[in-house]
Amino acid sequence: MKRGTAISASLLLLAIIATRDASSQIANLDWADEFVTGRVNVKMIGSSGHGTIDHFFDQNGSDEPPTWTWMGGQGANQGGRANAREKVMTSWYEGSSSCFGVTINLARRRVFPVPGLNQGCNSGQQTPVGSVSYTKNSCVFPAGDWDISMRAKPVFDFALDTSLVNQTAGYVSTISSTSSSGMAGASLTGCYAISWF
Amino acid sequence: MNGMTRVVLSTLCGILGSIGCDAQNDLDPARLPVALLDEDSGVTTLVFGSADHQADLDDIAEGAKPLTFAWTAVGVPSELRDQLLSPEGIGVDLTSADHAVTFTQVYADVCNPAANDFSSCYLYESYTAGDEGLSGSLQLALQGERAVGRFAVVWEGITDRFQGQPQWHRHETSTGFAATLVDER
Repeated sequence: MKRGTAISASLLLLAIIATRDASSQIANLDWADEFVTGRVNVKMIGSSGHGTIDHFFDQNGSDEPPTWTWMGGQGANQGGRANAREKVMTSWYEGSSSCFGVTINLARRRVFPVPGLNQGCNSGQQTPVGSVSYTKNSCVFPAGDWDISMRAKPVFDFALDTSLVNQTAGYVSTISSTSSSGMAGASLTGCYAISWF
Repeated sequence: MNGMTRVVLSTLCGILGSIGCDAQNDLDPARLPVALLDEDSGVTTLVFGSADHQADLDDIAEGAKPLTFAWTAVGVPSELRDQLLSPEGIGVDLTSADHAVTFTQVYADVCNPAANDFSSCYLYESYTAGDEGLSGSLQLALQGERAVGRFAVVWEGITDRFQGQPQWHRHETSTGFAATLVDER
């Protein structure tokens, strides 16, 4: 076998191995189509707007600091980017006669390259992508506007990620809650990777 | 609610300790919703806020933009005034530029997500129906001594509302108002 032929064969073998690995990896991934990265509980109670807000980025179901994890795979075309939607599940208990609002904000940063799994979310070079927020006001009196609901809002798709083809991108998401009532705000950050193909 | 009913409810609340009772017992006139009607400029403007900021609503109707508390202002052009005063009120598709209805508000959100500043700030936004990036709907009516409104307002695009730093953002507001009309003049 000539030297050049041997090198070509070796490269072909490496390519096959790489392809098999990638195929295997993709086959094992869930679709990153619609996924919930956080849960927020909002209670609007009383005239001073006091209440509690709990939320978390659900990773491993524990209180440990979140680390990088796989969210899944998704097509890198326009349809795929629109179909990949990150959601915050927010439960609202509105039992107040006062006039105030609560905003849930979901902010995203992109990370290249994706840090290794199990590393903390503050690892990697981060670039801001954008944010979405959902404000729910209740200024209805007399009372009778008590409202208990569960909403998948805010929602943030990946339409802004127009240049990702055959790449794995990392995303750092921060979920925050703020209020015009003086209710204590909170925020929590999580991170995940999506394989765009 | 008469006195006997209030005593019975209070007793039940003490026994049950329920959340709903908290709301009934904590009624604070300073935090109740109020609305100011202004028609000086040829545009009918309704400014919504809480009673503790009632004195500021007149200034907002005149164009002031205080950024220290939450408020909402809706401007209705003259061709919709009669409909606004009818029991049914007005319903506006915010994607349409047929009527120059304006929606302005100051609300609480994070200070600057692009800069990783997730502390709380009051932010300002103002739109006119038909603006690029704007969608949703707005319903508004004057019913006797009350102004009643329900707004679902969505805007997306590049904004500098976060401490002046341009960044992509989408904001959706879901608001219900049933507020007592007040006169500050």
